[in-house]
Amino acid sequence: MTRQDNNLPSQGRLLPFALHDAASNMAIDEAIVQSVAKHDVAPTLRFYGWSRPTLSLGYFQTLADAEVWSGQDADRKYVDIVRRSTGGGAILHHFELTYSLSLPLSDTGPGARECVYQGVHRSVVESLAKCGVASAAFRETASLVEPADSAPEAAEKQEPDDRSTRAGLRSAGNEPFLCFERRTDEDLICGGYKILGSAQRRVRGGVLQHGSLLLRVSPHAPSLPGVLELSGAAMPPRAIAELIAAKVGEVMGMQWQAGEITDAEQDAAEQIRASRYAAAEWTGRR
Amino acid sequence: MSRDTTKLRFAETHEWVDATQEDGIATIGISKFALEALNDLVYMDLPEVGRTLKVGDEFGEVESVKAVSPLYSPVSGEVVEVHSELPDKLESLNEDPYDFGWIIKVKLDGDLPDSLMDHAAYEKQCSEAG
Repeated sequence: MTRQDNNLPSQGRLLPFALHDAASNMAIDEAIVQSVAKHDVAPTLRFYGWSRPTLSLGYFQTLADAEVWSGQDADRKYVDIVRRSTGGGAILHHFELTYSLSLPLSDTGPGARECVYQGVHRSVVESLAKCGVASAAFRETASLVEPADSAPEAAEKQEPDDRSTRAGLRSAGNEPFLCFERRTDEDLICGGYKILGSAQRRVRGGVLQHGSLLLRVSPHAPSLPGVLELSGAAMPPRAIAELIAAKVGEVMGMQWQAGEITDAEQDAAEQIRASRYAAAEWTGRR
Repeated sequence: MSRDTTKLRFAETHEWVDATQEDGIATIGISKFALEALNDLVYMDLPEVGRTLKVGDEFGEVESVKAVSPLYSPVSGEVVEVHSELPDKLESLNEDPYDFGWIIKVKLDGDLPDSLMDHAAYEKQCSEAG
């Protein structure tokens, strides 16, 4: 993924890390990609957190499945639920770092921009390596059947059925509900476990890519260890976000300018939040 | 009888239109080129019968490789039929995009847009896109 290959401008906008509620986070991303696709603003990279633990559903997933997941543990009733516009599986946003990358597209080719997955994930691999954490794309580890020798504490708590969450043990039937229990080629694997997954939404003239880096295990999903359990590396979200932003800029050949969302984007985000992500009709549409 | 793809018209966004019938009903689907690029569709959303579409309106959505992409209407008119079994048989769509793989039928409210390409022009667009 390079700026030249994709006819991108030389400068992008980097938004500061911030916490928001679930509906606001999703609405801000949608408002941004719409303005990026219209060339009103530069390509935009945003890192953020969630003010409450939140389960974000992939666009085509059902609320009924989320309710089954919520019902499996009493404490999960405190986890908010939102439906994303992007595909893939459900993500528990608790001790993780979320990013969104919004890019304009000059061609009409359909479907995923796999080069964007690859570019960001390569940047995360190199950023983690700077912190002494080894990770690789699933496609590079797919022949790995046995997990790493040093099983993390969270992994030791797994039931035998949960072994499908380890790299190399792909489920043959329906996809698991949670994103971090699934495997696709570009997912990042560390110590046999998935630590980064991303998904996209195409809009007219642009693409939004969401991704989540699992920093440490959540009590709401104890079978999914994060970077801390897998490597011992504690990662403050803002610090790792800065490293990743710099690497994404290098990989894309783009310079980031620190910025804010525009008044027009803020207004659009408030409308999108009310009409879509905070609306029960949207969350329960499937 | 198989649909003659050389008689189809194509949108820049890779939807095909069969308007060869004289009843004013156009049949719409996704081109083979697009399906190959989409690579392993897993979900599809269809519109309601009776919905009115204008050229360029989103009439459905698909997911592949964790990317959700809209389908754009290449014509204006009213949706009179949807291929409701298609979302459960997406593997058949990949195998037969021009016959089994039709998605919607639209009662046209005017002529086809001039922006639609004939088969040769669409082939050229696809070959240039690589």
